[in-house]
Amino acid sequence: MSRPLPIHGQLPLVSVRDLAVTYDGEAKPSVRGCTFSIHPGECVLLAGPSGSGKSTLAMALAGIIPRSVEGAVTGECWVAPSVSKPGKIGYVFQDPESQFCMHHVDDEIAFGLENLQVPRDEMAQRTKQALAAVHLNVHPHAAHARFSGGMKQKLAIACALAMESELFIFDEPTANLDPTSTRMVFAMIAELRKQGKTLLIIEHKYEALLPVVDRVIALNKAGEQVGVFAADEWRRLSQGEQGACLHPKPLPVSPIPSSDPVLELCDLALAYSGEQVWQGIDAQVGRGEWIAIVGPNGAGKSSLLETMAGLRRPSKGTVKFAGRAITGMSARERYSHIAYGFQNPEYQFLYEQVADEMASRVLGDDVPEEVLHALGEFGLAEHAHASPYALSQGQKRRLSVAVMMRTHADIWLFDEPTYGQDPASEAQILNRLLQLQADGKSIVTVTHDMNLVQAYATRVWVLAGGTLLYDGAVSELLERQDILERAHLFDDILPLSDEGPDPSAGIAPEDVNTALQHAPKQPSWPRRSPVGKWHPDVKALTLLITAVVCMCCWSFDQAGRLWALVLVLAFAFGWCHPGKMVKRLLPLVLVYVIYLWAFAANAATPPGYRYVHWLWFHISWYGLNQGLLVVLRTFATVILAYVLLVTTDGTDFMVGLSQSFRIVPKMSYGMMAGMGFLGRFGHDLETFRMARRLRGREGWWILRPVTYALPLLSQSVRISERLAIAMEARGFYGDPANAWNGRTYYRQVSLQARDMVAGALTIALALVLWLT
Amino acid sequence: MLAKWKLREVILMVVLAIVCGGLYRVWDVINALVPTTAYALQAAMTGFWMIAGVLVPYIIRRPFAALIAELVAAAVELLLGGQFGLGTMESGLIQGIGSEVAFLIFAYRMFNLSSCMLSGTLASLAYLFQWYFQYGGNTLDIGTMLLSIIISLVSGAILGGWLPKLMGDALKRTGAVRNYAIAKDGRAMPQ
Repeated sequence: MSRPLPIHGQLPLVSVRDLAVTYDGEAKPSVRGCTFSIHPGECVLLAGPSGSGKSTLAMALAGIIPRSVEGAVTGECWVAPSVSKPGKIGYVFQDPESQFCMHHVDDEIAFGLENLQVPRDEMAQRTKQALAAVHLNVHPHAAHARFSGGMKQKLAIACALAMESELFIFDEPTANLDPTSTRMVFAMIAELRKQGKTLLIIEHKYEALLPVVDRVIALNKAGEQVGVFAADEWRRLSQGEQGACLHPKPLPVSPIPSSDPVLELCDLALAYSGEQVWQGIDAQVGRGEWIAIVGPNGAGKSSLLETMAGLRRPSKGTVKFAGRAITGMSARERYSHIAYGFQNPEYQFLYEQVADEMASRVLGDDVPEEVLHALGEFGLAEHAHASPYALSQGQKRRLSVAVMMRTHADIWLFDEPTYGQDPASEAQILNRLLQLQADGKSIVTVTHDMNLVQAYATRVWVLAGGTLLYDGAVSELLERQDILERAHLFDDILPLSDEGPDPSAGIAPEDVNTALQHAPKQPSWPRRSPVGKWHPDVKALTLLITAVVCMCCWSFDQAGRLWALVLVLAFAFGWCHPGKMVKRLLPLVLVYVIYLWAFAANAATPPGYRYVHWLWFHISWYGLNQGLLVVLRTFATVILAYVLLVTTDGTDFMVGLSQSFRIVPKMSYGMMAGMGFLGRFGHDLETFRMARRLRGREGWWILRPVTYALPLLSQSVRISERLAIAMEARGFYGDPANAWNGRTYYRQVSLQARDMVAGALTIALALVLWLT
Repeated sequence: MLAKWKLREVILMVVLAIVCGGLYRVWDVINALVPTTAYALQAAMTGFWMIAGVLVPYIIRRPFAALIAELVAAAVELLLGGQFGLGTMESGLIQGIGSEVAFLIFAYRMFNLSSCMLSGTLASLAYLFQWYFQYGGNTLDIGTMLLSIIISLVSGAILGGWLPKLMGDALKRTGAVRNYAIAKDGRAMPQ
């Protein structure tokens, strides 16, 4: 495109004319006919229903399409030279979990700086400034995995600020956040605008943002640009539309049922691995009620709902359905009365075809009329043969609701029923629930959406600070400032003011606590030991080779000598704590005792050795000896593994691969980013287990891993794609990703002669001990 | 060679390997419960520890995918507290080489049932060396030993070759792997 004409003497940062984006393998473009410019210092809102291609358009502007996602961008797209360099466009994504690739705050911010080849000496200063700019008052070396969603989004903004981004793109940054965190992000956006940054924002619930928005670019459902509006004009135009999706109505406040409650919670408490989540919960759900559970991120709302459904065992107290403890009911009986919807509808899918899912059995090609009709009610008839996982987010949720509707439960528990839905499908789902309620069923939903609470709930429970803070009418709750504040329900709908700094730009009180809790500890003794200071990759290789030598022991003499070496490495040089080691390895010792018995009882004895026949066993000293040898050499490698794990920092290990061994950074950093997934693994498995129990398809426990594999894998694929996009959006492409010397390194993992000498000596010693 | 990988392929490889490593860990527990004396059953379980070495290359179809994936899966199994210590990494390495060789033989052009099953079998074969020399296979009498070897190889072909291919195909049907080589190469997908 020719250079655009300056307006008011200023060149735009981005200017597009008749832009269209078509993903590979798709016939129709996802967005088309886009013509607009974004000028420096402007704040532009990108509006449109979900599925209208807002993210697609933003990713095309940022160059993510076609760089990281295959697709064709046609039409004219001009990006000013000042923002076309890596990192000059900062991108904040919807899912706070899958945009980070490192484990600590400082490493995370430095990752972007490394991509820009910023000298190492400048990194600490720039990190500090960026954290201060977003009011993220945490230790720079804190691990960010347990930050709240709002803090994570701030960190993402800090990462972009450190890279001196000019244009910030926010892609639904608050979709996963509670009201207070949402407010925090909005206030941050207002501050960025004041600092003269250029902003492009995609946001569904944007009313509060409108005062800081200059212009609105609107797309329609087909992905066509409807027009570009001034903020005021847009407010007038959209007023009708915004009101249409929810029907606020004066609701009769349901009194706390005194008799005949459907579900009763009696002195319920939950603790995870010793940590109290919530306790002392006494509450009831009556017939025909709609209860909304609200509270800050991480208060345990989902686990409360799961406990109410009997999917999770409380550490104390009981849940009663119609007066009977639900633990006393069979799963089948329990889930004929209780219906449950997960936040992520995918967890509930058991089959490979939408129609099968609906019918709860494998149908093949012939779909009964009745099933098609049921699908049709939710607008899914034409997808009968598609995979449930291939549906859009809205369709997935509708499918899961449709499946739930086929049960005749008395109480409906729903975790975030409208999460990720556009107004149309949101209305459809909520109307369904209203019908149920009218039929005398009870409904309990967990939600962050205070509009929904006000429009539908007959009663609200506030879960915060480890207990039920409030149980009563919605209107009264709105007058209780103290509770609203503690429960992070504070005014995300209040418009931002143009004047002065917004008080909520700071950190929420709870967040300070979490931040302090996650301040890094002193490195442990093993980390400070000589083995701990050894180059991590050289160490790993050395220990691996030593393990191979151990595995080749043929006699007790060899095994004894190598064990001595292993113990010297572990305690004299590795400073391992014997007590901790025993505690950690004790379960394995039991496994090894079983192995030992197997050898003693089954080994073939050469002629001349004595043995005893007992039952079908063939017990011999010879076998015991042979087994002891196998156990000794294998267990030596277990100890080596323990030493490696307690003395090594995972980040150093991965960074060292590139820094010292010239492995392509794409490999090492990509692996590290992927490894972050390990933390989510346990949680995901747990949820799959619950989902299957719910539908009575838990299966024989040995086969469970197989049935979990597919949903787990398809979820993994999506997470890895998001992660890769987020990393590349931070400048991790070209030289910084492909050449070990194409980037600078924040962590110094230096390879010195003494590392190599130590490695060579250890291996030589192992071989000598083995040979003699 | 590795620089040709796309970032999302690297991350997918790791993430899939983590899932496999988790499955291996579950399998370790089950394996510990199976009487060590039930040699046939023990051998029949072998193939499951090879799935990463087929699943990942079957989806991303790059040289070294099998080897690296199997190594990462082994590392995850170890991190999750597997009972075989650094021996796990050794297994991962040699099984990964076994899996890799099968695809190398076909010059990374064939990713179908035969190459997948060959891959699982070779991984099993590679593991059998470790089993024989290090996990006490050599102490068995000759009949049991041969039986174990044959069952392990068959298990490698089925659990280690066919099963991950089925998983890959199922994943392809979900539409989740649209952007990866598996979706773009029709030849290797006889349905």
